[in-house]
Amino acid sequence: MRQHSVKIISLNSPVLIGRFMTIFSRRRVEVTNYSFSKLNNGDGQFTIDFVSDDHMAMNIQKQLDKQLDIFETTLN
Amino acid sequence: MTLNTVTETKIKNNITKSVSITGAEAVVRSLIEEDIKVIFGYPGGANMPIYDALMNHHDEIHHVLGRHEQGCAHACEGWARVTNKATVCIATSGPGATNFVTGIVDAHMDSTPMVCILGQVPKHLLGMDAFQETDVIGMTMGVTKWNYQVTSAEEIPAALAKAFFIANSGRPGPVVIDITKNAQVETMEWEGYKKCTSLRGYTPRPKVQINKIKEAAALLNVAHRPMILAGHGVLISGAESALQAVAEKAGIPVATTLMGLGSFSPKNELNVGIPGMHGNYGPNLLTNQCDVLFAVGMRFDDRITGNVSKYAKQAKIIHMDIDPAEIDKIIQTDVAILADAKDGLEALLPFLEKHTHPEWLQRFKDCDQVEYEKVKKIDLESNGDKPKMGEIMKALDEKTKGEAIIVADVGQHQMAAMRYYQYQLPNSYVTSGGSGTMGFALPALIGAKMGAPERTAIAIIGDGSFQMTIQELGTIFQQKIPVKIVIFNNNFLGMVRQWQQLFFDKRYAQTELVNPDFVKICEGYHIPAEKVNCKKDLDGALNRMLAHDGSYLVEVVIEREDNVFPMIPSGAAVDEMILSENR
Repeated sequence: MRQHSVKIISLNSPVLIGRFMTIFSRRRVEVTNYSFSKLNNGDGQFTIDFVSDDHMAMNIQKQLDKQLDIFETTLN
Repeated sequence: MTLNTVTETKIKNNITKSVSITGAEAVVRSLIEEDIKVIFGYPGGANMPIYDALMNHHDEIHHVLGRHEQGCAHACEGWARVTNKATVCIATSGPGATNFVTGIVDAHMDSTPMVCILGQVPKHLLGMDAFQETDVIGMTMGVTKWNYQVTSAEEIPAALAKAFFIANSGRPGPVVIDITKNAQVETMEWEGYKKCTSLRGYTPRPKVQINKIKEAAALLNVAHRPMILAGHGVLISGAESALQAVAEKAGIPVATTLMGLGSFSPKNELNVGIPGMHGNYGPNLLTNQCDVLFAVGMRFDDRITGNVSKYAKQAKIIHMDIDPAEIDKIIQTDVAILADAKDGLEALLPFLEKHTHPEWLQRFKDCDQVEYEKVKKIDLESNGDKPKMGEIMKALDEKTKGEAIIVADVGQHQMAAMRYYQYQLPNSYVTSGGSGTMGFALPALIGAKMGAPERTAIAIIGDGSFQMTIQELGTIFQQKIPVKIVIFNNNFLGMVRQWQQLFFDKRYAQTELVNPDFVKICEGYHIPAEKVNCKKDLDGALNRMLAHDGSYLVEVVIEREDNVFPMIPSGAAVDEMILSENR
């Protein structure tokens, strides 16, 4: 178990945060911090910090990535 | 102004015409543009404007009035499962929406495309706990491929275009469009309908990576004991011919999952049956002896893998799937191919060498013989007075030549329908796989028959499942849908009872049912029906059912404590499958 951070570039849509959180809570993964900012081109950028093992982190990134209106995800 | 008042405005050189219409009319026009012919739904306070608009287009869209929104959603699934194309179900807000949720979950689990249109309270009442307001967007976030709330009329065409594109493309799934009532009644300028064909950040059909294909071919070309697991993805992509070509060229035995039944001909010598909890002995046992396991369009569901830590550890794993989130989710792969099944298999074919594996294939046949002696013989050649589930399915198989659509509910009868009907055609076994939704079959039968009216459609339903959506007999009667229904009646919730027998010391906690007279219930709905109490009467009853022009129900009283074997006990490995109560 270790700290991970996923950065999500998406449509600037408020409903998306709900979708993201469902993905974490359903898997009982602890979110330690999240933030949102609006990029210059109008896209939204979410950063979500969480604690999990590496396999789960990758699984979560893939689940986030397959959501509609998500343009890019980066896992650190 | 009535809801269908149309004001035509000419713009710019008479080339483009803009028409002022209501949001509700825009919904219906959008459906017509998407070539939607049949929809399933239930009217209520928050979707009445859409229903009013539908009346103007009854010759273009046939609306099927269900008896419960859950039934409408399952009917929509049934349609999609035989056509591989989404249609629409409509419900009102609040309880209408929540009643949809079981069907939405079911469609999500089984990658079934459908577009659910919901009415919602007016925008100004959102979040005010208004009458029949519920947060359906929040509720369905985790169980839809996409959901969206429309709060103004002008959003409607684009939202619906996006909905159909998302539902039907890539790995299909359910989409919810929640339309506030103000959006339905206010007017908008209709400037024609533009279908959605792409979305930023969404790659529904990934380009096949040839280097991965070559890696897979290299493994398969040197394999001595290869095996293919073909799942629902093969049917969804229409990859049946490509699968056959790959299997036959490389001489690879093919097992089809419950959801993949019909993707590979049961007459083909390479078809070795069904993997999974109540599947066949050979494909389960030999999963843990193969040297290359090639999974196509399937997701290694726990009902397939049993104990994952003991699953195919000796084998190299090739996993071809369209959904990147399925790769390495359950089983660590050696070669991952992100592809639509048809694209991937067609790309693979030229890289494969011609091979046969007669000794390996013989081992499946040996397992078949063991299964025949210990299981099938008992299921198909019993001496008892009551028909066994396997005998009913075998009789139906012979009478329909394996070419009917079988819509099975959930339970023991579902397993019998999986094991003893030989599915000769694709998209013929319609059941609730991932979600295991009791009550699925009767309404799904309606959708399946309407989606493929030229085919015989037969529901196989347990007495417990039947009573979960029994009210849809009313839909069958009103719509005059010529469906066939076979009830397997053991006066038990049979599968749960089987587990209680095997794992809970026969403590039958709340699984015994005292049932009504199903024939009399059918009489009330003017559906011909008869009850079969002993084996000798089965044949005649099934003949009368199949020969009848309209809908017909046969209730078969089966052995009360019949069990489904083989079985992988919960937590056991695939090669620890038991063939009888005595192991």
